[in-house]
Parts: sequence; C-alpha cells; structure tokens
Amino acid sequence: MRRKIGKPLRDKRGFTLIESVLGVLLFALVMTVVAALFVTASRITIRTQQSENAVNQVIALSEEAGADLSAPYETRDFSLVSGGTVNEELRLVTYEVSNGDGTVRLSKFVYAPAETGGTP
Amino acid sequence: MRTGNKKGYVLLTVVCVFAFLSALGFTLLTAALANMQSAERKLASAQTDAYAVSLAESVNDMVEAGRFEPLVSGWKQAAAASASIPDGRDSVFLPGRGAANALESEKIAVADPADPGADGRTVRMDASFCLSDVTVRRDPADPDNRSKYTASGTLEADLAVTCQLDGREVVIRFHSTFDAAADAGKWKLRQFVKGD
Repeated sequence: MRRKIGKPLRDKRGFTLIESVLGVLLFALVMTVVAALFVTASRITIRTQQSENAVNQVIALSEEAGADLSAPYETRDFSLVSGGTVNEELRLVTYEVSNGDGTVRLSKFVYAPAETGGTP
Repeated sequence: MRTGNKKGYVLLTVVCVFAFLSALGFTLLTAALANMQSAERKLASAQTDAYAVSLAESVNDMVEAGRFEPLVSGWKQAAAASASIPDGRDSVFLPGRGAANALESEKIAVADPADPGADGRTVRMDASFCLSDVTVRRDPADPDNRSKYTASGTLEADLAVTCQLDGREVVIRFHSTFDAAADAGKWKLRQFVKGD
C-alpha cells in the first residue's frame, strides 16, 4: 500500500495523464486555429473569384452596350469654358452585376442629346 | 533511447507539424487577401478607364454633332485673319498646328447615390483644340477683303481627363483628329488615340 501511494504518477516509459490531457487540448486548439486559417483563406478565394467574374462581366457589359441607354442613368452637366463655352448634358450610365453577396457597378458617360432617344 | 529524449522528439515533431500548417495557412490567407485587393484594384482601374474614355468619346461625339461649331468658326476666322495670301494667289496653305485654344470643364461629381462608397468621386476635363494644315482662301466675290478670307483644315484636340477616385488622382490623355465633313459645321472623327 505504501508502495502504491508512493508510486510516482509519471510512467517512466511515457507521458503522465496531465501531460496527455494538456497535449490533446493544445493539439485541438492549434488545429482549430489552423483550420480557421484554411477556411478563411478558401472563403476569401471563393469571394474573390466571384468578385473578379463580376468585374469582368460588368466591364464586358459596358463595352458591349456602347451608347445603348437601356441601363439606368442619371444626367450630369458638362461645361467646357475659357475663351468660349460648350454646355451639354451627359448621361452617366451605370451597369450592375451581382456577385453573390454584393453588386459590382461600373459607370460611364454617354453623350446622347435628347432628340436621339434614351429612357431614364 | 532514454525516455526524456523520446518525449523531446515527439514534442519537436508535433511543434514542427503545427508550425508548417500555420505557415501554410498564413501563406494561403495572405495570397487570398492579395487576390482580393487585386480584384478591387482591377475594378477601380476599369472604372477610371471607363470614365476617361467615355468622357473623351462624348466630346468627340459633340464635335461631330457640330456642338463646338460656334467656337470652331471663331478659331477659323482668327486663323484666316492672321494669314496673308501672297498677291496673285487665291489661297495659302499653312502646314502644321495652329494656335491652341484651351478649354476646361468644372469637376463633374460622379458619385452614385446607390453606392455610398463612391462619395467624392469627380471627373474633370482639360481640352486644347487647334486647327492644323489650314488653307486660307480669298472670297472670289471680294478677293481683296481680308475679313472675308475663309479657312479650312483639320481640327485636332488634346484631351486630358482627370479622375479623382477614392483619394487617388489619375490623369488619362487622348488625342483626336477630325476632318471637315460634307455638312457645313460638322466634323468627322479620323483618329482617336489614348495617350500616356
């Protein structure tokens, strides 16, 4: 009995119970952090890919549209002055593409005098 | 092998594996963030380009539509008035670029109300027009009257669009060349080049 009580908790050939438990906890903690890093990186990559696709789509859309005014637009005053003046109204046309969790917008000017049409 | 050494090796191996996985995770995260910023930069660059190119194209359209004609007529008259046609000839050809006529626009606010992040975005244009390769002719009905000399030639425009986007200022330059169209007062775009 005395010998049993006096027996050390450490086994000469391995880790003690406390060491093993702490090791497992530490392992779980570190693995959680590492997994979180990987998950975050992959989420960002997926979002970036979606965003890049949307950017490419909206660029293509604005280039294909030319002076097509089917997209929503606002008007902007444009005046060139100094030794003479040119006053015109430009349309600021905005193209939109959804990229899952947001919208990518690209705007451009279109000169379309009222008599040439276009719908707001 | 002594027990202490064996434990040391096990711990060292575990620490090395953790360090490797952490380094890999951080590398992937950094690369993903860099890609994300690259996509944002691409959009910002495309937007700047779209504003600049479309504004310059709009000015070209205005010139073609004859909206600049009151100004161009004045420049033609000035060119004709300053030319001298030698005696015995009906016209004189003045090669090269004539005097530059500078125009500039006020800043145009381009913020989209639906996009609060776009506040403060402005676009401005500086334009310099000149007549080049001008031919000045006498009026057949009144050949000695200098005030009736007429000028014709090519219209050139140096356009500089300044975009102020998200704290960055970018200047994009263009050069347009127009030939006189058959319709009086209108021009036909011959060349449109994006500069530096």
